[in-house]
Amino acid sequence: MRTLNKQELEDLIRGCAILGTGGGGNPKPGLAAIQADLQEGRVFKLAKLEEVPDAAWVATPSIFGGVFPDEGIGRAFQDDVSECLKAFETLEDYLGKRFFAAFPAEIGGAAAAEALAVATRRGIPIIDADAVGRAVPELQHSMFNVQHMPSTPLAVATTRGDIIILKEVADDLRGEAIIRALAAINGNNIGVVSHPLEGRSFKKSIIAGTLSKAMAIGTAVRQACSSGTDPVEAVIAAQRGYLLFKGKVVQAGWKIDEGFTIGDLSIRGQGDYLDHRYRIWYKNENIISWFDDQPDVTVPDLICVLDPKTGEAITNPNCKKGMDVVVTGCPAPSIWRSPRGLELFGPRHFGYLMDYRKIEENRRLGGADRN
Amino acid sequence: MRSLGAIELEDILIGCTILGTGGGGSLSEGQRLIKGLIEKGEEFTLGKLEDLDPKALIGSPYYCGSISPEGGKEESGEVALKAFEALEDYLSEEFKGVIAAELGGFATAGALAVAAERGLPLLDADAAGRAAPDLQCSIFYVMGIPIAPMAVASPMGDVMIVKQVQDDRRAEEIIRRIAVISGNMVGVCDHPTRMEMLQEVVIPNTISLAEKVGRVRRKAMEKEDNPCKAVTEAGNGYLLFQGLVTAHNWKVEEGFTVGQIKLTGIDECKGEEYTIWYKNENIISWYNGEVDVTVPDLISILEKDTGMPITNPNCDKGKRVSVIGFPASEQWRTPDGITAFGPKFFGHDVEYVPIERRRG
Repeated sequence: MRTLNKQELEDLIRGCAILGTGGGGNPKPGLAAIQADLQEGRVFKLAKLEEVPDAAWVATPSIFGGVFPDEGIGRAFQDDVSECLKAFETLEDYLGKRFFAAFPAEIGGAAAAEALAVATRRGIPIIDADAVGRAVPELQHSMFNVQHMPSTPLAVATTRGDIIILKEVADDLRGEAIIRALAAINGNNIGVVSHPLEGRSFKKSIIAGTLSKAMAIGTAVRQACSSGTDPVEAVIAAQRGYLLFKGKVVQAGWKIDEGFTIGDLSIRGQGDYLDHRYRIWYKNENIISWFDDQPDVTVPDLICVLDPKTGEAITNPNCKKGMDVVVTGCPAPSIWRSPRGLELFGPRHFGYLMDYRKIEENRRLGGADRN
Repeated sequence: MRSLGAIELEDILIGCTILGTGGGGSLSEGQRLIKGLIEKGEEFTLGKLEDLDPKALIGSPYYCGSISPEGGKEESGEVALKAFEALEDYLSEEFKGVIAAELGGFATAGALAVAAERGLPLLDADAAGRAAPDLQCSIFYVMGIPIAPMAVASPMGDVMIVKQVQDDRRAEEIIRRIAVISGNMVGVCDHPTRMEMLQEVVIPNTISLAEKVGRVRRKAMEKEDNPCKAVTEAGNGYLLFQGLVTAHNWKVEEGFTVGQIKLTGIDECKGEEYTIWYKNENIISWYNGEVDVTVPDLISILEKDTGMPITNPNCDKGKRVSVIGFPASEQWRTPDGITAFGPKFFGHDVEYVPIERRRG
């Protein structure tokens, strides 16, 4: 177990935001909160997966809702944290257990910051692992669900003082529908603590080191920027990914729909991509992209939109008309490429009647020559 | 304590539907539910408030959702029992009795069913003395009995505990949202309360009143008397209108069935017009365009020839009906009661005037 310093925390959030594929929550409020917490002397600890005792209990705090633009964040990060803390305590009381550690629900700028904020206030570490291995829009998109492990009992807390325990759900789709219905009457944002698990089953069902990996991407970007090398190349190398497109955003529409931020980005090519177009559809996270109207990359693989100058992630509603962007992609963790992983989180789940094709195969079939 | 047989149960359900003022769920669903339990050999007991131990914990189980045309509702399963038992499990204590949240053909049947399935008495009382559309239109709300912790079960198999809630309005919003994504039907158990507290607040003897209303209707039919008149007298009510249904528009809105019924007078009401607006239950009526009766007083529409209640939205064009009104329980006629369940709560800018002042 080790204590994370300011630079590591910043690298972690930066890397998580990049792997957040446009969603995963806005990283800025969380980062500011971490910086404030550090000034107050709070300590952030990271535990390796193997440091979680078999008999210890862990759970994941998260905020369900849409992703919001910098200028339109209707509420403070502190509200997210207090809801998650309340839900965290509720679930502990309900189970009659104390949680040894918290783990992020996904790899995303806000998700990681929320887990950190809850953990430091409870004096516990966060675990170097998450429930997904990337960012995702819905409850059922977890590695636990791929392995038929329940998300319940789970606790929900709202800013209005409501506390709800979902004791059991028919399946995670129902859990998602119920949480989303509750989020809709709480300003499209709601604090949830789910997946309470005993160390021994938790460790067996999850990928170790996903936060370290995100932190390494964040570090690579920072170092590239300070040494004057291309930060986007640093991202691609660190995520073992691909350059998908480069250009200027010509259209960026979005709306909040049933608790999600849903939108479309159109990008006109520049440089090597002159005379080409790229389009991305997102539901909180980037879900599917098209190169000149041909499907390019789809979930579960990652589609990341970055600032070409800084290599920083651009979260979705902040990606605006006129911005210069670079799109990179990388393979999803292999669990998501299993038949059940694809059933839960392939393009068909989002209504696109197409089969999933691995990003690396697409590249071999011609994508790579575009670079 | 008194054991209830098939005839008493039938009288209770019909009486509850009459006092359900158009809502309170489908009578035929309630009858089917109770019939199934009678066939299974379950026993039904009605308990007077004073029959129970003051320390006994009482639960209020019910089905929550929109009423829809007869037969249109999907099988909802035993979700009320499931919620009842989930709340016991959460509280680590067994309920010793059941109280109906309201009077209604399906609402009261739901409470009766849970009581019978668990071998517990149904209390001869309820929290509304009628049916009411919103959770906060309840004497529990007016008297400050906490709604939480409450349990909710869906037909899909989801079970949740609302441990704490901002207020009853919020509870209403939460339950309603869950109902909307659960085929418009969930089982709820709320207001877990000890008998000593409960007997101070609830409206007593309402189940026996419903039974009486149902019985006099049945007897009047047997003797070829006027059933609507018998029902009206049994509930100290007023015959408000006799007419033919000429228009009926309704829709399901946010989980509520909202509609308007227009009547043209017949017999002694010939040449007159009557309009009723409802939100699950009949809320307000107009006689020739002038406000006639409003909540919390009761407005019930009966088939003119049989005195059988018509639940919304089954009041079809062409039906010959009698509209009758009953005074609400005294508990509703307080300033807090009127705020919670007066016409203004439903957006009608009308002062509440008791039915006996309008019609007496």
